[in-house]
Amino acid sequence: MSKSFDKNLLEDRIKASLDQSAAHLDANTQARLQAIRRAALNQPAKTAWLKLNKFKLSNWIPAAGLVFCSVIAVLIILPSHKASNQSPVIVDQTAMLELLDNPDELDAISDPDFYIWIDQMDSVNETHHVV
Amino acid sequence: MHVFLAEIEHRAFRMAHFATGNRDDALDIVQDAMMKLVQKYSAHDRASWKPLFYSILESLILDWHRRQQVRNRFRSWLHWDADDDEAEDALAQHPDEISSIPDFQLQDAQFMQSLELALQDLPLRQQQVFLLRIWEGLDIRQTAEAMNCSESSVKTHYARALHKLREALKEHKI
Repeated sequence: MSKSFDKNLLEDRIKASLDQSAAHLDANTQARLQAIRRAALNQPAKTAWLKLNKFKLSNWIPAAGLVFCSVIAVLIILPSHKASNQSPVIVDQTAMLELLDNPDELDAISDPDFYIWIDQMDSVNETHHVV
Repeated sequence: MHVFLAEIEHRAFRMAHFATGNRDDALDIVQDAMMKLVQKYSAHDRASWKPLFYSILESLILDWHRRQQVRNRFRSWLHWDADDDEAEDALAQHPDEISSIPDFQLQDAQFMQSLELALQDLPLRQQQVFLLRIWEGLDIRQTAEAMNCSESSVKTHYARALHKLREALKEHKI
């Protein structure tokens, strides 16, 4: 009982002292607090707009970053992927078209010795690779 | 909102001042808390403003302490001389009120000075819980919400704070 009474007394005394200290702030501090309050109350419209923009930015910046990275990755990876995956059949066909396009080479194509020579060259190349 | 802010601004400033020991920092914290309250919660129910405001205030005070800790760490690495620093000593900042007041107020002034020192000596969480409970009259649940901790934690902090204050103020024979 006495302890509880003491406790209440202490709390009351502390509260009264704190109230007194808050009520007797110096004039400069009071003026600054008033200015702060006015500034806080005069900015809701501006912040609502900012908040909207902030919301948009916070949503779009990561998304834009992701898209940018994806585009860069596609630009870097795709050409090299294409080059490495080019079919040997397509390469051969292209070479044949180039030969057909050139009238000087047409004689060589129609000559059977030319093909024998190519076979010989291929077999020579293969033996070089094996060695 | 204007009336609400006018009602609490002095106490909020004193709380921030107890926590920081620096008048300008305390004013900055109160300003940020008011700004945030008006920006985010002015449309809320008036009854919720008080716990929301103190929740913001307490979080800003915690941020301030964290920044101070980082700053102190850098200072210790760089071996800055404490005399060169602009950090203000709470005792030095405190005006010597006792010499300029009438005798009948002397006891109160001495008590207040001891109380301020005792409050500043409390760990931050105990100080915040104590001030919110005893001064702002927040109940245990509201205090726990404002402090972002459990209700049992609030009770513990409050009991410890009261015990320490009783010890610190026993010479005043309450």
